[in-house]
Amino acid sequence: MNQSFRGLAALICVLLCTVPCVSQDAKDVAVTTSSIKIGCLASTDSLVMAEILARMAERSTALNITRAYQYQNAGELYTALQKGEIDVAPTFTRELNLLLLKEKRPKDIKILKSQLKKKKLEISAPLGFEKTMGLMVLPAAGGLRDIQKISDLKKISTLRVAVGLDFQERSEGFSSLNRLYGLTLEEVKKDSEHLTEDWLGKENIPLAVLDRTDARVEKWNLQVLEDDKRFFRKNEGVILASKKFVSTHADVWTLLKTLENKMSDNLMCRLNAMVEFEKKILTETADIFLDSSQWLALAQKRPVPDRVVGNPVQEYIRETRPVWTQLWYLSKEHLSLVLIPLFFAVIIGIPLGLLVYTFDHLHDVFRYSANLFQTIPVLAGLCFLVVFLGLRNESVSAAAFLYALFPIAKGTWFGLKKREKRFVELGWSLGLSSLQMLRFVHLPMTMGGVLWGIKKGALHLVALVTLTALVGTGGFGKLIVLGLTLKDIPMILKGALAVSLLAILIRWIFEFLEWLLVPLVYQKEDEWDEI
Amino acid sequence: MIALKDVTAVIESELVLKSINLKLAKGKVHVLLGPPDAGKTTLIKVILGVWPFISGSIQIDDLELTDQTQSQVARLMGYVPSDCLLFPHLTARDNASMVANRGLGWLKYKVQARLTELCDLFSFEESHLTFYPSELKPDERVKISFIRALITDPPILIVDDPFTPVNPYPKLDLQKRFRSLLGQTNKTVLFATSDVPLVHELADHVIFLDRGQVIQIGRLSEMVQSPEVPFVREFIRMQKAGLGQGRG
Repeated sequence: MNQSFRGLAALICVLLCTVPCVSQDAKDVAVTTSSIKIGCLASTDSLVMAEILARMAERSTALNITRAYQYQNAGELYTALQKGEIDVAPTFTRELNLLLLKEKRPKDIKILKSQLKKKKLEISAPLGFEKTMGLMVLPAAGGLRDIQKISDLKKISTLRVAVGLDFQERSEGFSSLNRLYGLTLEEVKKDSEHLTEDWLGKENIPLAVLDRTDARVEKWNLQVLEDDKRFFRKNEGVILASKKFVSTHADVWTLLKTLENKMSDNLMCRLNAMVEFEKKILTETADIFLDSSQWLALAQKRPVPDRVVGNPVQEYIRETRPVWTQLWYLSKEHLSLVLIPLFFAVIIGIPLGLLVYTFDHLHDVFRYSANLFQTIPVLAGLCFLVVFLGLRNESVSAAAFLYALFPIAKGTWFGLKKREKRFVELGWSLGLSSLQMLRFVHLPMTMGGVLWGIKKGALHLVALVTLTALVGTGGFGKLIVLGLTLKDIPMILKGALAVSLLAILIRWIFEFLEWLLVPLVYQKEDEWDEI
Repeated sequence: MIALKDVTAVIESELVLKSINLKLAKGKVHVLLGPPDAGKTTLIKVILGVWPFISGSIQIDDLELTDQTQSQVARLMGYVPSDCLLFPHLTARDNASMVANRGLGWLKYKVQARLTELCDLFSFEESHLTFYPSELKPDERVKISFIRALITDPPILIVDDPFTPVNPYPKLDLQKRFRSLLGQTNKTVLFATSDVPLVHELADHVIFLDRGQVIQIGRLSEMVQSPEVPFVREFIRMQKAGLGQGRG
């Protein structure tokens, strides 16, 4: 047993050699002190606002601007701000209310300000636009042309309203709307992404609930009905910054604050439409806005710097680098997210397999729990860990580690089990040294199973890490998630294609290793797949 | 010299060897004779230290067989297993020479010289040394097993009836070579078989084993003339007449 363990340790060494790319990655994250880090949620409004802030800072100072546009929820964004991972972020008052005051109804911004002060964060005055939901009339609905306010709808009999799936979460629900206004509207739920003009026309739906800054408001020329009884919760755009940033870069903060009360819902609709429908890149959109804003007393225009430390998404947005450079950066990020948990899964998984093999009675328990664990959908498993460990990269790595651990332990166990007893006995009866036993008997017969386990683990991880972009990690999943947010098909395809290629590449690497390390007579992949 | 004292072995809660007492004299050929389930292979594997024994002691030359001394003890013995098992992922050369490389530090040329010598002795085509076991003929596998057992010229040779899977003609040739080998060397040999004519030619001593017990030790002629139990004579006669493997 001891001999097998020593042999398998050799394999671990091979894997160790792959780790340097991880440390390289860490270097890239380190940012110089004279830089400003701007973060935001991966939604179009936030991305546009963040890029405007970034370009303002970039055009008026010589500071290095780093963009971190991958955050998936407000909690994560605030944590990043508090930890100093980012300095500035555009955000919305509804989310701040929910998170800080645990209040669904909006509170005065002064209360927010005092709460934020305790958390060493600074907030700007409202920027002027509201990402508040609104009830809108489609221009095709001719009979509703004279309606200005929601309460005016009372005069009309039952109407159908298209509602995004996030409506319930962001309001009191549809029945409350009807109750408050005394209406008899009928709700038609549809995934917000698929609320298209064609679909609405086909379904003959005259009304829709959308954000007032949604790009579709401008594109379809929707008329926003006045919410005279204040049903929809106010959700104003603001800038959030860390205290440290405000004190060190007071000039930049003052500059960013010039945006206060300068932006309207219509303006945001226009900017969003530029990104979503006209497929303008964020930087270009931000520049168009800044160039047309005469009231902004900006310093002379500066060219876009050649070398920017930061986020691959930003590099994508800029499109100043060739595609393969962006993909290389992302693949390094993706691989580091795969290799670190895989490395630990190998370190723990192989001894675990040995343990289960040694104590045979553990096997049933082990096999059952491994199968049970793998029954849990990846995303659900991830959610459990996020709840227990918090929304951090560590939770993602812990989930990834667990998903890779069992296949590796299983493969090791099966490899050991599949060693033919007669060959082991032959080795003993020939008086082979322990090194020879390892080289001629244990390793050739066990290696197939171990490699099978590591391959399975690695492929699970590639898939899992892609999914974890949903909770804000990096890698190719980020391209897919951001692409979905921006409705950018090429971006989604780029991410999906890269992940597929990476998985195929990993498979090939393991097939090569198998060819190299496992004698032909012991290559029994079909058998492994039956485990 | 091999000495077994009161050796009892249990495998899967079945008593397979019962209180075996044996002393194999140096330089003599000892034949383990008995029906197929007599425990011949079990006894050999216990002597090699591959299978455990629950009581008694085994002394090989100056060494007592324990878990610690097993590989040391095994190196004193050249072993030809009954199925002439070879490692399927190694070539004939690697299979044969792996034993010479087990910590002896033999140089390559020495291993090669010894291989050539043994290939000559067994008339094994040297170019076939690059073949894998699956590419070798049954008699070639037997030859490689013998070469592997003899490459380090150990003082003891243990042969577990390797001729069974071989066709009649090569079998006769192999037996002839084995006989001449035994004639030339001064090794202590333990040879398990149920082939009585071969026993007659080779054996200095015959150990008759049945159901895990030593029934009789002596010369074959003595066993026929005055058997301890009638089954010994009956078995030997049936084997001579080629009437099968024994107890019917």
